[in-house]
Amino acid sequence: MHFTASQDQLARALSQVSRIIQSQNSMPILGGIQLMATDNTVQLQTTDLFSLLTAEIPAMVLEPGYVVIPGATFSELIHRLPTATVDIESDTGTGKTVVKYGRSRTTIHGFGTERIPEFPGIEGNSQAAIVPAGVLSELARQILFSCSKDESRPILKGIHMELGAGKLVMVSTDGSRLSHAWVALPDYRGPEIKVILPAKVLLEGSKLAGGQQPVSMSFAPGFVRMATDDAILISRLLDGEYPEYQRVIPQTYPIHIRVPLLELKGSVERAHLIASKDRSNSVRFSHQVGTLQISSSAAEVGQAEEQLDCDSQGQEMEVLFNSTFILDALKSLTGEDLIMELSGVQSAAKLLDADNPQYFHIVLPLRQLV
Amino acid sequence: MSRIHRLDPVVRDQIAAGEVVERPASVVKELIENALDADSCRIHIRLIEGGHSSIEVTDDGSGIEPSDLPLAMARHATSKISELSDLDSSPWLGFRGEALAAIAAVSRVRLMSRTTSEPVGHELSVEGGVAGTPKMVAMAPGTTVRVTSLFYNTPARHKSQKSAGAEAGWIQHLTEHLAISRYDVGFLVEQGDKVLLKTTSQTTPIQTLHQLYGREVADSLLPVEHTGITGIRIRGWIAPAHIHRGTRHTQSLYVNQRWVTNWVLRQAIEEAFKPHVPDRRFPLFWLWLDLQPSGVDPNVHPTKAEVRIDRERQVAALLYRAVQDTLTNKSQSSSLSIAPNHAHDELTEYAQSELRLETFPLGDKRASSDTQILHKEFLELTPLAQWQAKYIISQGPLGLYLIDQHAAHERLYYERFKREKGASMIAQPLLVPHIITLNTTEWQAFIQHRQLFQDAGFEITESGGSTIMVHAVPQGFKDLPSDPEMVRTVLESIIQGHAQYGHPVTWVEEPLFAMAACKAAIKAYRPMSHVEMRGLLQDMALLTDPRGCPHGRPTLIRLSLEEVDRRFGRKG
Repeated sequence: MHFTASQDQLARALSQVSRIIQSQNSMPILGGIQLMATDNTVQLQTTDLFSLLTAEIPAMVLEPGYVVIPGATFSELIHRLPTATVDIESDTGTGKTVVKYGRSRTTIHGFGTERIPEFPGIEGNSQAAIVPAGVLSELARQILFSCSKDESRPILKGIHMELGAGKLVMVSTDGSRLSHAWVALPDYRGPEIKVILPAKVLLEGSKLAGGQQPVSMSFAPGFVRMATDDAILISRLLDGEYPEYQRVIPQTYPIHIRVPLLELKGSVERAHLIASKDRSNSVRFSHQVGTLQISSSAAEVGQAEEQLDCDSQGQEMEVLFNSTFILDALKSLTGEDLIMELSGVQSAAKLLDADNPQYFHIVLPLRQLV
Repeated sequence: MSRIHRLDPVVRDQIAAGEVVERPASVVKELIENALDADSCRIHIRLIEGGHSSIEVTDDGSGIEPSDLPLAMARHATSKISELSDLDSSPWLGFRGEALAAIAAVSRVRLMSRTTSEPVGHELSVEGGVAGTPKMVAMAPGTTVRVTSLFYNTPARHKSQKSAGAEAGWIQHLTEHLAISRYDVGFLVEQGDKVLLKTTSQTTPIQTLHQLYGREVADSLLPVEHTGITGIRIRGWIAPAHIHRGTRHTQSLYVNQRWVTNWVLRQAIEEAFKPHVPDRRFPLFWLWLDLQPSGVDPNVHPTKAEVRIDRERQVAALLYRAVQDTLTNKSQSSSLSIAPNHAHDELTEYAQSELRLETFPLGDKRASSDTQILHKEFLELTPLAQWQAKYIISQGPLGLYLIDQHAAHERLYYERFKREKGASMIAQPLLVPHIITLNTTEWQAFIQHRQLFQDAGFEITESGGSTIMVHAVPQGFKDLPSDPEMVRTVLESIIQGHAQYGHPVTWVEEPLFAMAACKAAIKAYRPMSHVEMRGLLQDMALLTDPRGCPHGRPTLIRLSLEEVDRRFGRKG
C-alpha cells in the first residue's frame, strides 16, 4: 500500500476514529487503526467490537492495499508532522509502514497481514432519518447526563429513542431522574422505530464531522448506522426492555414557579457546596407564593439559606432534592427563565426552559426517614 | 430360625463404647473428669506409647467405697445424678454413668480406690467388660485407674489409631484445657520418664496459663470481663492480636466451667480478631462463659465436648463484642506492662453498652462524643520523621512506632463518616421500581431481615413468588450512586455471615464509608510536615479502634525497646 495525503485531513480523520479505541485492550489489534487505500480514497477504521467507525479522506493512491497500525503512535506522529503532505508506504506482508515527510521518515511496525475484526456492515437506505447538523449534539447535551453510569442495570446506560410521526424523541434515566427531549423531523417517512441507543454512540454520533453536517440514521435489527459525508459509525444497539417511563411523568402540577435561571443556578450551586459535604447531599426547596427558599446543611460544615423572588402559583410546599440532580438539570438549560413545577412532596418535579419546551427533566424528591 | 436376636451384652457395650471412647485421649478425658468430680487436688497421668499400651490416672480424691466398686464399672451407674432433671443444675462434669463401663468394654482396666475412712484400698480388674472379684490393696487415699491394651478386642478401631507421638500431643493439649479450667488442681502428665505437662495448684487461671505458656504469653494477656443484660457473663483472657499460633490448641472456651468446642462461638471470637490476625493463623484465648444452666444442654453427645446452647447467636454476638472491646481498648498499650502477676487485678468493668439482643446499634456511647480520649498512648507519641513519604516514624513510651499515614488517616475519616451518618437518613425513591428475583437462600435471608432493610432506607414490596420490587434505596454516599442492586449485595453478605456479629445494621453502609474514607484520606507519597504528623497522631487518640484501616490493613507497627535490644544482642 502506498499513498500520499494531506497531513491536515489525515490528522483530523485520525483524531475522529481514535476516539473509539479503548485505552486497554485484551486483543492488541483493537488498539490499531486500519488504513485501506482504494482508488482515490483512504479509509480509516477502528472498532471496539461494539461499534465500528469509518472515516474517509481523499488521497493520491499509488498502490492499493491495507495495513493495521498501532493507533496511538500513528495518530500522534501524524499530528506532529511539519509538512503539508505526507507519504505513507507499507509492506503488506510484514506490516512495516514508512511515513515520509520532507526529507525525513519514521518507520512504524504494523500488525502484518492481520485485519481488525469483521463487523456486520449495514447499508444506508432511502428510509434513513436525516437529522440536521448540530441537532444530535444539542440532544446529547440536553439528556445524556441522566443516563445511569453503573453497570448494575445496563439498559439504563442507553438512551431510549423513538422515531416516527414526524419527530425524534430521546429519553434517558438512571432510575431516580429522567430527561426527555424531542425534535421535529417532518421529512421522515420511514417506519416507526423504538430502539435503545448506547449513550456512547449518541455522543460519538453527535461528533461525526464535528457536528457540522447532517447525520443520516438508519436501522437494522440490533444495529444503527449513523453517517455523514465522510464518516460512518455502525454500532450495536442495547437489547432489553426499557422501563415504561411515560407513567412516571406526572400529568398535573399544582405548583408552578418561574424564576431566572442564572439566579437559581447560583443559589443551588452555593447550597450544593454545603450539601455535598454531607452524606445526604440534599437541598431543600421551600415554596411560598412569590418566594423560593433554597437551603442545605451539613452537620460538621455549616448551613446555607438562599432566598429568591419568583413568579409562582400554587400552595406552600417544602421538598427535598438530591442537589446533584437539580444542578445537572439546571446546567443543561440555556434560556433566561426556568420553570419548575412541583406535583407533591413525594412525587416528581419537572424542570424546563421557559422558552424551549422541547426538553424537560423529571427529578424525584428524596424521602426523609425518621 | 428367626434372624433377629438380642446382642450379647459384651458386644452391645463394645458398640456403645465406640461413641465415648474414640482414642486414648478420650479415655484420658473421661478419667480426668472423674478425678475432678472426686474433689482431687492433684492428678497424675502416666502414658506409655501415647496411651496405646497403657494409661494410668491417679488422683487424691474422695475414692470409691469398696462395696461400690463393681457398680462403678457397670453401665448407667453413677453417684452424680438420680433424675434427668438433676442435669440442669448438675455441678458435675460427668453424669451419664457410662465412661468407665465403656472404657472397660474395649480394654483391660484395673481400678484401685481407697476412701479416707478406709484403712486399705480395694482393687477390681475388668477385662473386656467382664469384672473379676475385688481384692484388697495397699495404697494412699484416692483412686487409680489403669487402662491397658486399649481396643485389643476391637481390631478395626485398633488399626485406625494415630501414632503414639500424635496421641501424646493430643492428650497434652487436652490436659492443658482441663488444667486451665481447674487451675486449683495440679496436673502432671508423663510419658515414660518424660514430663509432658506440669501445673501446680493455683489460685487463678492466669497463673496456670503462666505455667503452661510461659511469661511471654501470660504477661501480654488482656483480661476480658463483660456482663450482658441477660446475665450472661464472660470472663477470661485473650492474647493481643499480634500473638497468634498455627493451630487452635491455645483456644479454650468453658461454658459453665465445662470445656466445650462450639464452632459458632469460636468463630465469633475469631471474627473479632480477624483484621489483625493473618490468614490461617489463630488467636489465643481462654474464655469462661456463665450462662443460665437451663439454657445449656451438655447431653448432646456422650463425650460432652459439644453442648447445645439456647440463643447461640446472641451469645456469639456478645462474645464478639466483649473481645472486640478488649482488643480496641487494650491491645496497643499493655503488651509491655511490667506487673505480670497482677494482670488479673486490671480487670476493668466496662460500661455496659446498651444492646438490643439481636442487633447492635452501630455507635456505642464512646463513638458519639468525639472529644473523649480513648487511646492515651497516642498523645504521648512524638513524630520523628516521615519515611519514604509513606510512613511516620514516631517514638513513645512503649517503643518505636511506624505508622502508615494513609491507613491512619483513612481510619480517621471512616469513623467520622460513621458518626455523621446517624444524623439523618434519606432514601431516594425510584421512578420505576426495580424488580429482582431472588433465589431460595436469598429469599429466606430477605424474609428474615426485612425490618433491617426498611431501617436502612430500602422500600421493598413483594410481588409474588420470590420476586421483590425495590421502590426506594438509601441515598448513596457522597458521589457514590444509589443502586437498587445493593439489595442483592446486602443479602449476599447476610448469607455469607459477614453481617452476623459485627454490625448487623450497618452492613449496607460500611463498604460505602470505607470507600469514601479511602478517597478522602491523604495518600502515600505525600510529604507531611511535623505539625501535620503530630496532628494525625493526636487525632488517633480519639478513635474507637485505631488498630487497622477500614479495609483491614494495620495502621501501625510497634517495635519495643526490648525487641530492638534483643536484636542487637544487648541484654535489656
